[in-house]
Amino acid sequence: MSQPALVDESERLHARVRAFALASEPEETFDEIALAIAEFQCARCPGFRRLVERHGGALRAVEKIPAVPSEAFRLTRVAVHEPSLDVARFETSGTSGEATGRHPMRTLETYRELSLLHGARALAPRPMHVVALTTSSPSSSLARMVRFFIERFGSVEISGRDADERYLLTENSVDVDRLRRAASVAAQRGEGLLVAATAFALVALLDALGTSRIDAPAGSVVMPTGGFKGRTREVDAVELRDGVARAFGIPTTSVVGEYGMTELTSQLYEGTLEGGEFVGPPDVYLPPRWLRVTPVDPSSLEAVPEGDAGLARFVDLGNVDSAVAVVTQDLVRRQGEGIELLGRRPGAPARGCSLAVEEMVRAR
Amino acid sequence: MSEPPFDGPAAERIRRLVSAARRLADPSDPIGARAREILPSSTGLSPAGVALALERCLETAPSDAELARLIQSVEPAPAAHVLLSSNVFTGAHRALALALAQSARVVVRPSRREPDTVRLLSEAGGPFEIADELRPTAGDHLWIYGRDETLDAVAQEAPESVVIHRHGSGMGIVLLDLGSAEGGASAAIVRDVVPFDQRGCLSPRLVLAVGRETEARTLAAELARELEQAARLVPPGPRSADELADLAQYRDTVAYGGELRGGVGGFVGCTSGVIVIPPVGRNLHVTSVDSVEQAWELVAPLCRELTAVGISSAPRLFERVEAELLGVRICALGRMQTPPFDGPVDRRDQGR
Repeated sequence: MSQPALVDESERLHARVRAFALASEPEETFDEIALAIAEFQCARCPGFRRLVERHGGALRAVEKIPAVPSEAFRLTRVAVHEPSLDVARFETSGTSGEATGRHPMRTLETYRELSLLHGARALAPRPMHVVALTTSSPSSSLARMVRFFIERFGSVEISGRDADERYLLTENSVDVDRLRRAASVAAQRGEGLLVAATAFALVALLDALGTSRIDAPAGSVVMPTGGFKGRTREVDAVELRDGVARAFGIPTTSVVGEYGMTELTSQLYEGTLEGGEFVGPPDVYLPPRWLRVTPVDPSSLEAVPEGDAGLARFVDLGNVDSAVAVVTQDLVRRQGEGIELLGRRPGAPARGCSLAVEEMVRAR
Repeated sequence: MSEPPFDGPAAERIRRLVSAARRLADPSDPIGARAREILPSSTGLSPAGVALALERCLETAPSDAELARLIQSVEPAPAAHVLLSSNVFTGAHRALALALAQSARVVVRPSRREPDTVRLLSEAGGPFEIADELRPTAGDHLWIYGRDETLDAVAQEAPESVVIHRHGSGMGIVLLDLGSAEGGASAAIVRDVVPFDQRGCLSPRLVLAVGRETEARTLAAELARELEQAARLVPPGPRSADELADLAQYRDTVAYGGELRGGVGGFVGCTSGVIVIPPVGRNLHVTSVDSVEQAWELVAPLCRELTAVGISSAPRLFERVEAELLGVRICALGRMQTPPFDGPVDRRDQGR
C-alpha cells in the first residue's frame, strides 16, 4: 500500500472513530471499529503482524487482539506510517537509564476531538478559564491535551501567545502571582478556574502557598494527573486532594483526577464533579465509550475474574495509527464502570541473586 | 611466582567445609542423595538442575593457591555472621568459606526460602552455627546477601562498630566479537545460562554481539537451538507466576520490536543497537552492535549491575573491559559459573 493510500485508509478510520465518539446513537459498534483498526495495523505494521502471528494469527474478537506492551514504545517505533508523516512525537518521561518511549501521531485531529469531548464531560460543565501547572514541552502529550483545553474551554476561544501564557510552571516552581491573577480574571469573566496540574506541581504549589489560599471562583476545578516519579516529595493521594481543595477553597469533589499515558490517545477521569456528565466515587477512573479497559492476568494476558486485580489492557479507538490495543504494567481492578489504580506491577522477586527486571528496555 | 602458603587454623576450617561440600556433591553419599531429594522443592530447580549445580558449580576441589587467596581476601575477626537471603543455593558454600576464613566463630542465618543447603553442609561436618537471628557485636563482621532493600534494612539495624559486607543482586553479560568468535560460542554461552536456571548473579542474560546484524540473528537462532537441546538434558524447573509475567512482557515486546525465537528451552530475542534485559529462566537477548565503541556505550550505564562478563577471545574487547570494569569477573565463555574459589563471587565493591 502506498503512503497516500495508507493516509486515505487511516483518515477513514479516524472519521469512523470521531463519528462513534460524537454520536448519541452510533451506527457502528465499538468492536467493529476496533477490529477494523486492528486489521489496518496488521496489514501496515510488520511489528504488529509478528505479534498477531505469535498469538495465533487471527483477529476475530476484540478481546483477542494482541496488546502491544507499553515497553515496545521504548524499544521501537510503534506506528503504521513513515516518520516523514508525523505531526507530533510524544515522549514518555522516565528514570535515568530507562529508554524514552515515543508515540508518533500522523494527525492530531482525533486526539483533539476525543480529549475535548471526554474532558468537557468530566471537568468543564461550564466555561472554564484553564491554566496549566505542567510542562509546555511539545513532546508532552499531557501539555498538548491541556493546550486543547486552554484553547476551547473558555467563553472565548484563544490561541497563540495568549494560550502560551497559561502555562504557569517554571522548572519545579509555580508562578503563584500569575495563578492568583488567572483566578481573578476567571471571576471577572464569570468562568470557573480549571487548573490542570501534575501531582508534583501541586505539591510545589502547596509548599509555596503555605497557609495562604488562591481565591478561586465558584465552580472551579483542579485536575491532578501523574505520579511523583523522581520528583519532589511524595504525598498521599487523600492528603493531596484535601490540601488542594483547601488551597483553592473548593469541595474535594471538584478535585478530579485524570489518568492518561503517552501511549494512549484517550484518558480516564474520576466522576466526582457535581454537575459533571458522569458519576463515580473518588479513586475510580471512568473511561469514555471509545476506550475499553480490561484487567488481565500478567502471564496469560486473559481477562481476570470480576473483582481481581490485573494488568491494564486498553483498547483505545483513538490509537488508529499506532497500537489499538496496549497493555501496561499498571495494576488495576474493575469498579463498576471504571477502574481503580493499584500501582505498578513489581518485577519478579529474585529467587536467586540475579537482577530483578524493573526497566526492561535500557538503552537506545 | 610462588603460590602463597596454605596452612593454619583458617585453612583447616575451610578444608572441613569443602569436605562437607564434597559429600553433598557425591550422589552415592547419603547426604548427597538427600540433597538431590529435597533441594528441587526449595530451589525451584528440576532434579537434573540440582544435580548439575552440585556436580559442576559447588567448589569441591579448590587448589591450595585459591584457598590461600580466599584467606588473604578477608581480615581476621572475633566472629563472622552470615545472612543468606537471595542467592543461588550453592552460593551458601562460598559465603560460609569466606566467613570461616575470617573467624573460628561463624554464625549463619539461612535463607527462609532455601534453608536446606546450609543444614546439609552442617550435617556433613561444616564448622559453623545456624541461628534464627544474628546478633553481631562490636568488631564482628556481618556478611549480607540479598536484595538491596534487605541489605539496607539489615545494615541500618546493625551496631555501628560491626563491619558490614554487602552483596546485592547483579547479572552477567557476554561480549562477543562475531568476526573472531571461535566455533561453539553459542554452546558455551548456554553452558553458562543453564545452571540455576539463570537465577545467579554470574548468569549471562545479555549478549552484545559486535558484527553484522544478520550474523547476530544467526547467533540468536543457534542459541535458541542450544537452549532447546540443553532443556532435554537438564529440564528447567517450574517458573513462578511473576517470572511468567515478566516473560510474557519480554516476549511480546521483542516480538513487536525485534526478532524472537525459542520455546520450552527458553527464549532468545534479537535487536540491533538496543539493550533489552530478558527475565531469568533461561532467556537471552542478543543485541547487535557495529563496533566495540558502540558496545561500550551500551554497556557503560549497566556497569554497577554487572558481576561477570563472559568474553570471546577478542583482545580488543578484553582490554576495554579489563580497563573499565574494575571488580567484575571476566572469563572465557562457558566458564562464567565456575569462578576461582578466591574470595567473594561478587567483587564489585573491591573494584569500584
